[in-house]
Amino acid sequence: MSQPKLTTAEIEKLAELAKIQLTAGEKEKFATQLTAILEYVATVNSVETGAAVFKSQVDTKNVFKDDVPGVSLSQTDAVSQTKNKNGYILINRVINEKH
Amino acid sequence: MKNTKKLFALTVKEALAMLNSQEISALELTEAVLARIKEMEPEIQAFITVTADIARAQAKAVDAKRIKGEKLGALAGIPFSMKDVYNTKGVQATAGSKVLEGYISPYNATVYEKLLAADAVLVGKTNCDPFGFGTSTENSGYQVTKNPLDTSRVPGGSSGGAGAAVAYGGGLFAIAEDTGGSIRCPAAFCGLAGLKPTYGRVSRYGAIAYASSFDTVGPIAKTVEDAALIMQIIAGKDELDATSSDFAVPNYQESLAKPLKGKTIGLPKEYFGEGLEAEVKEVIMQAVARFEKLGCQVKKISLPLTEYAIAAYYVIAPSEASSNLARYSGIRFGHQVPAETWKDVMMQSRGTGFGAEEKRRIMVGTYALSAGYQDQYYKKAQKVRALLKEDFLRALTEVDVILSPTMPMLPFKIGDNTADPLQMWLADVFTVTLNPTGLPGLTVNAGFSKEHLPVGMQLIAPHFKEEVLFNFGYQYEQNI
Repeated sequence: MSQPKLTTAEIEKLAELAKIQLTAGEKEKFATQLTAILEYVATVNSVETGAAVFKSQVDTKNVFKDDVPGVSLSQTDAVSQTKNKNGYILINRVINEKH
Repeated sequence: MKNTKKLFALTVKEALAMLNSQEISALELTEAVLARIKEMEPEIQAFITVTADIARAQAKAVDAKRIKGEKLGALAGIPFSMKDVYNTKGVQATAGSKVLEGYISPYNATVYEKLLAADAVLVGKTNCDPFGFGTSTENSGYQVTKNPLDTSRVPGGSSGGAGAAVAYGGGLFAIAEDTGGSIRCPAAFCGLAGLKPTYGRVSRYGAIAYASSFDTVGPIAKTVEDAALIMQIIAGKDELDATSSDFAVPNYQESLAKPLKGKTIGLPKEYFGEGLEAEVKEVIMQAVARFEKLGCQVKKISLPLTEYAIAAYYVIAPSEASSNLARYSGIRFGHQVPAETWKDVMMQSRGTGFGAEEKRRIMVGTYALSAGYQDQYYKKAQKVRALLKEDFLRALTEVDVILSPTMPMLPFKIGDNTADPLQMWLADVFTVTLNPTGLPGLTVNAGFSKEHLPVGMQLIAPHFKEEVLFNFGYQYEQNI
């Protein structure tokens, strides 16, 4: 199967879905590279797979554990890696955005 | 017999004997390793963070326990490194990506907890391709690690820092991570032993995720015997990782000395065809001949889906990665770009924090999972995965182990394979095939090329049969 080269619009759509801002140069480079990659990985479609179903690597069954509270991160530790105030994470205002 | 090797060059087994007889102290050994790191790092660049203070404090604590006659752990005083994908409290964990620069782990990975309980000594965190995305460590957001055996060449990847560190003596062993060959490739390229355990054999808790259904935690060591010692400590069920198995952990040391007479080795014909470098093949076939001398029978087998395994891998692994890496939003941790709206923060933090390889894999995964393409890519690849697993399990009913080259080529030159990302992905053809199946694989140094570059051979056994791999690997090392 031959993959038509991804258009700039398609790359922009992908980048939007993936929430990654790309430069113009990146869009061009990734259009070429992703086209080649997608063409290669699409070879999975030439395998006759019938009713095959992948269940798990090592055939594990349902895994349960007792519902007992254990030690977890303190609030201070949990917010320590970002801007924070009084134990809360500080983010941009979400309501009243322009769009 | 007195050991005349330099301290940093000792195996874990040798160092334990000297520590236990009090010929050396843990602090002396740690200082020797730290001095070696200082000497080698300017050129090799295996470490992102060296934890000299932690190492000295841990080594002193081991020596104090020994003096007081307190019970010591099985790896007491042994310096080691961890790939920078593991959380170790209070230390930076970057996963090799700029998106996590400056992130300080607020907790410990289970594998680190287990090694701490065994009184091992952490000397640093090693460089890698970001999130494990690579075969040469050249994708790292921080530095290019050189192969200590030939500094014009790559150490392999993604755990290239781990391989290089063990090869030059920057720690007696390393904990690395294997999602698609990332332990086996650098171990092979650096002339070492490396084990990708069965999926679920070692807890993944606290390991920064790449592809959760493939990720495995394992050792890189100088010898198979050392790798077995380390696995004894880190294997086992962990309540914090629901995919970790409660399958009993056998005594690995007991398996090492078993004779191989009458055992069967399978050579998959698909692994010895086009694309395999002649010198690699030659060394591997000499290794096969040695196994025959040890009384093994060699049987030709077939793994017909080999050709499609790598394609299936590169659909499923990027799909899982695109989901796992969604957490790098510029909000909770890591690289943050201030902007007006939350969406701009996210788009710009990811746009500037991720390197090209992270972006490529996230976008391939996003594509494969998106509406309209999911059946054609992700679901189809999962079906191929099911058949691939059946292929391997069928082959493993005919033979005790499968033997193949670990990598199809010798360690390549830095910069040689960076122009075409797809070609770099294809270099993983013999290693990535195991990750979708969950099977364990051990790479052992099989020998060297004419230019004295190492050639790794990969041994594959059924699920949870790591002891069989250690048996074969150890017997090989003892008989060359």
